[in-house]
Amino acid sequence: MESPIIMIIWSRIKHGDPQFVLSFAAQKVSELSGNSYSPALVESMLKYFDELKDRTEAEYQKVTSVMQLAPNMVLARSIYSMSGKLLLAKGAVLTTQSINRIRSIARLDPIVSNIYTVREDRFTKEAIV
Amino acid sequence: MDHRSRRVAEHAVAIAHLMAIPDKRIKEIEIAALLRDIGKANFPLFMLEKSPNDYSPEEMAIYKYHPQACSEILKNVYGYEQIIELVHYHHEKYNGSGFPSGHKTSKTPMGAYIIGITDYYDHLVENKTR
Repeated sequence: MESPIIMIIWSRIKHGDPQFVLSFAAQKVSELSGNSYSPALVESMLKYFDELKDRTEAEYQKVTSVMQLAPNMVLARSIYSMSGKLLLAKGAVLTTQSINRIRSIARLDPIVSNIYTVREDRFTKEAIV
Repeated sequence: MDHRSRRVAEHAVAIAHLMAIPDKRIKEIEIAALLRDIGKANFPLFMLEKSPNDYSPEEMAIYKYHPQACSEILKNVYGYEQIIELVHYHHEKYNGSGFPSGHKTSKTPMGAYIIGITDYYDHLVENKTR
């Protein structure tokens, strides 16, 4: 837990980057193939992970920098800063004010979680749960 | 019934579809995934609040009994024979390291393994996200 790389990996898992969590799970599951779980089962599990990956890609849009945020976007995942602070919870609709606040915080306290917004064409009730 | 059971059931059904298991069996897997931990209903509260990794040997013995407790609860339900079997074996492992019986592959139904692996996946993912 001391090395910074492990800290970053840990915080990304903890803060739920869906792509990252899935590849982490895929790695863990394939390690147990033939041991705790039968190879055939692990194979279909990995197939299922690929399906889930495609599904998250279809539903969420990854925002690479805070400068890309625009008003009226809906957050699909919560945003956390390096020190573990919750900046905005998922489901929040961005406003000019909140974007400015996040940008000013991010200068001192970088955002660790990837930012995901709901795709506009997927703008339905169940997407924002 | 908590959200965990619902998620595990959902994943288990999806994997069963990928493995081309017949629809009737899939329905059984879904119900078994929802009911799999009903045997934990008579656990003392403090055991539910910590993870199985932190259990003392006595608590571990109680924990390892929950699949059997579950089949005891369900044994009088008409038409649940297959489901009871799935629930009873859902902690079995491919290499025979699981519990309650530690059987190797031949005796354990495939559905029980599917519930086991999705349970593990959900544990991996949801303990670390929110």
